[in-house]
Amino acid sequence: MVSLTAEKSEIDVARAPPLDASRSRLARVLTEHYDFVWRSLRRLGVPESDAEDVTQEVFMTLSKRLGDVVVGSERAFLYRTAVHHAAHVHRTRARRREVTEPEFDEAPSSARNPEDLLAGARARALCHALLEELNFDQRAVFVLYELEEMTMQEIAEMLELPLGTVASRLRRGREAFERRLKQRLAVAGGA
Amino acid sequence: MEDPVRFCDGADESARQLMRAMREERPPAGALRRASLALGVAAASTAVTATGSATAASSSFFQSLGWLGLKWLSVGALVGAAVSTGATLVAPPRSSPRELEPVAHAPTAVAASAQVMTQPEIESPPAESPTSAKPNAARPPAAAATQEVDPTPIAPSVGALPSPVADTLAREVELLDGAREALRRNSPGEALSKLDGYAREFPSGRMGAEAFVVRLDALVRSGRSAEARALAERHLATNPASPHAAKIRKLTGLGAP
Repeated sequence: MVSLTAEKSEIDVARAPPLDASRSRLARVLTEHYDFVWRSLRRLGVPESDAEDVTQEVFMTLSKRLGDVVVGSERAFLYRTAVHHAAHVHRTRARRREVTEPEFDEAPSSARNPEDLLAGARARALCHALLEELNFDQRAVFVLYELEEMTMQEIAEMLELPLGTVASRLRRGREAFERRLKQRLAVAGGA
Repeated sequence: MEDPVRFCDGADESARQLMRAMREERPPAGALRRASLALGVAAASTAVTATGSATAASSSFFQSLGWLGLKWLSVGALVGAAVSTGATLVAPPRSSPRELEPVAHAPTAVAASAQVMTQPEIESPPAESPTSAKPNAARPPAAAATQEVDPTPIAPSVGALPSPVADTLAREVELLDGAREALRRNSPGEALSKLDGYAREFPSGRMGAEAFVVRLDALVRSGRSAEARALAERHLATNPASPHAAKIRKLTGLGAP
C-alpha cells in the first residue's frame, strides 16, 4: 500500500524558516514541479475539470508543511500528497457514482478502428481509461515508471516502499495494462 | 533487480503510441500563474522563472496583469503569508465591504484587461458605495440561487494599495474555500449555506464567478440539477465567452453551444 500520509513524513525541523525564504522556496518548487503534480493527478484519475484546483490544494498542503519537508525532497512529498488527494477524489466519485465526468469513456468507445483509437486525444483518453482500471497502488507506481521514466529504485525511495513491493506492483500493473489494451484494440478491430 | 523495458521503448507499437500521447498532456494555459497567485508567491515565481532577467520579466508580468494584478498579488501574498506562518486571516469589518474599497474606474483599456482575469462576468446589483453608486442600486439583494456580481470594471485607485482591499479579498477566498471544503466532504447543503453567506457578505464580490461555479456544483450534488441548469443557461446566454463556460456546461450537463 502506498503511503498516503505524506503529512507525517520527512519531519525533521521544528523551527519555521524566515517567511521570505519560505515564500522563495515555495515559488521555486511551484515553478519546478507544477506540471509534474498536475499531470500526475490526471494520471491518477483526477478529472481534467478538477485537476487545477486539486493541484493548488497539493501545493497548499506543501506550503503548510514546508518547514517539515527536507530541502530536495519536495517532489516526493508532492507526489505522495497528490496520491493522497487523488485517492480522496476516487472515493468521493465512487460514493457519488459521478456521472458528470464521462471523459474517460467517450473517446475510446467511439473509435472505429485501432488506428483511430491510437490517435492523439483519443489515445490519451484510452490511456486514462486503461489506468482507471488498474489497482490504485499499481497505478501510482506505473505512472512514475512508464510515464515519468523513473527507475524502480527511485520510485521505492519516493514512495518509501521496499524495492520488491515496487517491482511487484509494477509487474502486475503492466500486465493488467497490456491485457486491457489488447482487449480494447480487439474490440475496435472487430467493430 | 533489473528494470523492465518501458512501454515507450518496447516492441509494442500500440503501447508506445499511448505513452507518447500521454506525454503531450499539459496543464491549461495560465494554470501556473493562477497557482502562484493563489499561493501568494506570484512575484517570487516570476523571479524564479525569469532567471537572469528578472527585471524585464517582472515588468512584463505587471504590464500583462495591469494594476489589478497587483491587487491579486497583494491578496495572494496575504493568504500565502498567513498560511505559511500559521497566522489567522484577519477578517475585515463585514458590514459594508465596498466602503472599504476605494475603487476607481480605470481607463477602458486597463479595465478591460483587468476584467479578463478577475472580474466575474455575472451581472449583479452593486452595493451602494460612494464611488460605485448607480441608478439601479435599488435592485433586490442577491438571491441565494442567483449569484450576481457587479459588472463594473474595477481597478485600484492610483497610489498605494489599500490593505482593506486585500483583507476583503482574503475574506472572500476564505469563505469560498469553506464552501469548497464542504463540497469535498460531500455536504452540498452546507456548501450552499456557505455560499449564501458569501453572497450576503459580498453581494458584489470579486470571486463571484468562482462562487457561481461552486454553487452550480453544489446544486447538482444536492439533486437540484434542473435549477443548476437553468442558472447555467441564463448565465451562458449573457456570458457566452465566460472562462468558466466549459466547466459550467460539464457540471450541468449542458451541451456545447
